[in-house]
Amino acid sequence: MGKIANIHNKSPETYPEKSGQPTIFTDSRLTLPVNIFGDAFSTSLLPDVVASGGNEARIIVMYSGQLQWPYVLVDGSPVAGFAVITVGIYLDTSTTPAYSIEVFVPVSNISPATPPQPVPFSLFWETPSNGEHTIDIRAIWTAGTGTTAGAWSVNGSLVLITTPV
Amino acid sequence: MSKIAGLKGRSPETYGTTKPSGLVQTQPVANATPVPLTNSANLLVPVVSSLPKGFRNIILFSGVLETPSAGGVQVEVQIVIDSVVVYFITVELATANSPAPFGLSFESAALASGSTISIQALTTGVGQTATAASGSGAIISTPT
Repeated sequence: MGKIANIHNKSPETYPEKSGQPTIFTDSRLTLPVNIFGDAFSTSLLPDVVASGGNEARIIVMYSGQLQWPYVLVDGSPVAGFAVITVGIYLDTSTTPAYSIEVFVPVSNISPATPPQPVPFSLFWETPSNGEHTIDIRAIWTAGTGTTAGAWSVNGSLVLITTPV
Repeated sequence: MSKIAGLKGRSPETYGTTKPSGLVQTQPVANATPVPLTNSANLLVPVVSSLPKGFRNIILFSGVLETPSAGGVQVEVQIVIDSVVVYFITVELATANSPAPFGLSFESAALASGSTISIQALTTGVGQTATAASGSGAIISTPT
């Protein structure tokens, strides 16, 4: 039987099968413990930023992790105190998160004493338009007792799904 | 029979059937039944074993932890693949009877045939008890 060019997927008798190509791309990272310190600059929770997306694709960003060991500084030394940490998804070189949440971390011990009183959190967000971006997960101390200080981020896991639109 | 250039993998007569192995597959996972925790317990029963060979798997799971104990209880929630803990978080249950929500997201390497995925949890202190409830999630299997 002869075939006619340019009728792929248009002739069920001749070309009944779809190609079955993947429609999404994924990437992921696990993180090391990170000390989030101060309210002047946000701190990256990732070992490196991740490039993802494309001209005709959006990016679903998913991150899970935990915050613990909040502290304040008294005469330059860390002392136990609660903290509010803002964790966000940052695109490219922006200093403003595209999406963020606040996490309350209650008073616990000072690192590395246990228990650290870990508080879990998750972020789920999709870029609103097509495009390639670098993705970063950053955190900043927002509020707490006494002098500005911070907390620790541990056990973070980032998953990216790039979907064509 | 002659072949037509540029149609490789697209002509079933000439090149055989293209396998749909490149497609993304998803499956829900859930357990509405509360699971008591002391030693390690599976939050999913049975474990997930129907996984496509050679695919990576994005594992998403959320749930709630609670303890009747007045003192702080720590619970470790783990993603376990073929008996290996590949990712975990710990959750502090600071107050009795106060539900603490949690969520996990993780991507596995490409898995071999017969691999299993389970979500497990355990209290980290001797004699401590807690309960996991309202577990739900999904597994997204993607070709490599």
